Amino acid sequence: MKHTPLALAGLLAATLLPVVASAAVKTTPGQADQRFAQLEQLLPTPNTVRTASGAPGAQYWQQRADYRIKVTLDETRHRLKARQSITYMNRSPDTLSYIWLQLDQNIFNDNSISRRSEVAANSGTRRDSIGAGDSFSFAALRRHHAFEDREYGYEIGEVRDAGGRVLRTTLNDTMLRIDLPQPLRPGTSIEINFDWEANIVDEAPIGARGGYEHFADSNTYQYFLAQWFPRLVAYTDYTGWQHKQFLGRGEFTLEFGDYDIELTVPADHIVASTGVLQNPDAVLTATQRARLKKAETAKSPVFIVTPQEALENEKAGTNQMRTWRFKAENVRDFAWASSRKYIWDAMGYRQDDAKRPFVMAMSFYPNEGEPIWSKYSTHAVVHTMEVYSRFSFPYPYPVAISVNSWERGGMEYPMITFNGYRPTRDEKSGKLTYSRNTKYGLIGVIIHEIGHIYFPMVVNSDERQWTWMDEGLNTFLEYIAELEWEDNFPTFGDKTNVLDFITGYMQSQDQVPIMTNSDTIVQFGPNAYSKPAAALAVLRETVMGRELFDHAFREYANRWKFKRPTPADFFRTMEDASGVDLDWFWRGWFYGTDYVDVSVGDIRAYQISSQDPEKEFPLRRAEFAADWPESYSQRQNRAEGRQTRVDRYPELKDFYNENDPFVVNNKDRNQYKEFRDKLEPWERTALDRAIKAGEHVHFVDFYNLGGLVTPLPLTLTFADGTTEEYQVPAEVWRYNAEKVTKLFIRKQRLVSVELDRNHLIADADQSNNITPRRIEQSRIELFKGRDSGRNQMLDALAELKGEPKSGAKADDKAIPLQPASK
Amino acid sequence: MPTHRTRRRLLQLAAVGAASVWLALVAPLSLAHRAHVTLTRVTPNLRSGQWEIVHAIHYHDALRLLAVREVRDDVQPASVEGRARLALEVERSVRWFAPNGSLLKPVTVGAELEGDNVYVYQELPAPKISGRYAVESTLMHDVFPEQINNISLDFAVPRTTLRLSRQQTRGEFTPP
Repeated sequence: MKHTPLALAGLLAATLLPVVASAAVKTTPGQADQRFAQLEQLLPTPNTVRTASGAPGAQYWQQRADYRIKVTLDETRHRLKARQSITYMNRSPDTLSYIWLQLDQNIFNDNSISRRSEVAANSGTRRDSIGAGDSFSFAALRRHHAFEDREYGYEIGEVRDAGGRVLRTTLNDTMLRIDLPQPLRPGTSIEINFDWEANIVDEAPIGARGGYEHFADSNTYQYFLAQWFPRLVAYTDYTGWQHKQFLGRGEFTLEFGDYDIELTVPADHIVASTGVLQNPDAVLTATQRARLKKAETAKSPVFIVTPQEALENEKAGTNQMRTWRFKAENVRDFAWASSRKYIWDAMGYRQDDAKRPFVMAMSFYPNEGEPIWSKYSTHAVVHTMEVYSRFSFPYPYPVAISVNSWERGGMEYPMITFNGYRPTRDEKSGKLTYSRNTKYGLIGVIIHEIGHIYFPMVVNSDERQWTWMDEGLNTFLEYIAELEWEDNFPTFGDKTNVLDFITGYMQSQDQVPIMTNSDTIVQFGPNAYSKPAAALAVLRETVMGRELFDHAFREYANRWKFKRPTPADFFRTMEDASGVDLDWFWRGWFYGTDYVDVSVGDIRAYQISSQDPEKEFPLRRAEFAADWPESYSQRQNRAEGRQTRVDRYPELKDFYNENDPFVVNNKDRNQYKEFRDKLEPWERTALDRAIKAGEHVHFVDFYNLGGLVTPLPLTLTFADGTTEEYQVPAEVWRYNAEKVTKLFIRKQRLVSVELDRNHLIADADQSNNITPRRIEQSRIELFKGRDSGRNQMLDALAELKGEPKSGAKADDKAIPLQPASK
Repeated sequence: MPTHRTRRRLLQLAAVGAASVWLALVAPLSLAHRAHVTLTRVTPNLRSGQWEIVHAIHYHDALRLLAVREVRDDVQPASVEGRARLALEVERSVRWFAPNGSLLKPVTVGAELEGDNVYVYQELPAPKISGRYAVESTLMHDVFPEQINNISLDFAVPRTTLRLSRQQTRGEFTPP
């Protein structure tokens, strides 16, 4: 690091231009100016439905659909039989000559687009097949048999209007068009009625968001019914009828409405459902009702059905049926679960909201979920409401439910969620045990799925089109809630900080922008969940700050609760409510695949020169001596007692022997006087002040290696050991997004510049974040940093040693294949 | 009549046969130009509190080792399985002993191919007992009779290198 007097002219120029661009402004796409180009071309034109501020416009509209369904669960045949009525209200300005129903269960039909477009690699199941090339897993074989054994999809009877007229229908895969006898004018409504039946999917082999689960040990079942009935397709201002078929991944958006549902199930079943139970006296015992009352004010979950009662109940069985009636207001879907196996606990949650001061948090789970479900589930439900409500709005529904419906994973519906993770029984000891992964996986998935009741069950974004709008926003809030659950919550594998987790994905080659349609996303999890969550974490903690971010995010949630936002509404609201231009951020993080990697380059340090030879020359002498020490040979000669010729013949000495080049003479003094005289008074004042303050001038280079523009949170360390936190805004890159030089004028000499000490910007390579560089990582540390290669190797080692790979399932084993005989 | 699949297999076998002839004629000459030496470096990492053990095996020697072990043709040092097998070979053949004679068990972190060498990475929690430690190596002694395994101990001042061979498979050292 050089410490050199700086020419005044250069200093003044540098002061006027704090950021020195080293190259001309680029004009090619993806270069500097494009990275800060506004998003106008990419966003839809604002109008009276959706305003430029990101709020719903004066003429905002959305449709409405109310449902009445009477459905019977046939436990013997694993089948639903229903009579359904829908009242559809056309609140759009358009006249509709037909309406569409969404038939999600048809995805399991042998001829569905989803099944016919499956590729060999995954056979359409969420449990991937194994190996490369032609391989076939036991899981895929079981799935094939499950489809072979039973037919799936709806059997729908005639569709009639309120007057009993049969309406013409046309089936298109997972959608059914109903042609209306008269066009449905704006402001009018139509009632349609029909009967339907459908086999319930065997979830374990097929993989679905709902279905039944068979417990082989006790030969018992549970049913969790999701996306189970024909639902009105969303008709919107941005896409008309939602015409994307259900392919399995892109979930759904629907219309809000009121539901009146009668569920007829075996009499010994306990039912968990969207909505409020209308006939508790008919379906619950007096003890259960009393326990529910007690749970309203309890500080910890209260059993409504105890584990022992559930165990007894599941042994009995019955031929009797019983009808549970639920009503739900202003929900966009309806789901339920039913089983004689359920333990049921509940705990009241009170919130500061005049409209909804009380919510009942509840959990339903079989004994197979114990002991972790009674310990964590309902607490996680309440914790989610506490945290999410702070960032959005008070929980708007009367109940919040977590059901243990499968082994792992989760799915959300209004007021009710289906969640995985259970303990496992040790084969040798027979004891129930659960891993760290199971514990935190359970808490995490419940927070996530209950969180979805806010996004997208209330803030009704369209996951069929933009997965990130609910998964990403929800993962971000889940992350915040998990940080508030306990310190060092392992949210992302072994990492707590999403910004440390996401860098591997952001550097990978096979990624697509976040703004990719749901069914064509590759690397779904990191793309739609973690990367948007990381982006929002960067926005909150680094770009905007908590106060601005939280206000804007809350504004978005409140503007769009019970409405239907699009990405532009989110982007615009966040900017409008915070006063921060974030177009560069959306462009880089949501429309691009660059990553963050900034390298801190040289620090060049200077002090301002007074030009006064009486002060400067001694300094120069000292610096010269420091830079160019006396030659080793000369010192050795002296040590040997060797005299120079001049020492031996003093008469050879003259003026130059007495005066080194740094001795001040009159010429130097005159030059200094001339320099001072030519300065304007204000220039003299500025110079004298800077010299008196002893200011140090530093130029620091930053190189953008990853491409994504980012703020630069810096830790400046000075010669006296003190530090200063200083954040350079991302706009520093607006003229040159590849290299910038930043000027720092400080009273102290800068000895170190460190970028992102607190891991705030998802910088992919921390090794180049400090100047001077720290000791390099060892070969092993570097190898361990490359997670993918390391994990592959450890998996291979485990395989060769005969150890089970973590997460591997027994049915993932490959089936030996041989060439087909002729 | 053979199927297409069978024909292709026969063709592959013919190609392997031709290659074997070529190797038989040429290989002894080319092998003679390079000594069969592995280098193992042991470096203490103060940040992690581990001894980092890096074994470097020349690519061609690694290739030969896998061939001698009769693994499948596609299991090469360039494949994950090939490197994993080499790592297991190292685990079996290079053994570390505490002053009381107990066996120390380094954890294999992984392996990678870089340049001419396959690197096998291991970590061992820095031993806390003072005294005379030992290392035994029989790595590839059954493949190349003249095999030399150098164990370089970076914590020793000056740096010490143990030169282990078929004749002397064991060396001792004292960590600071």
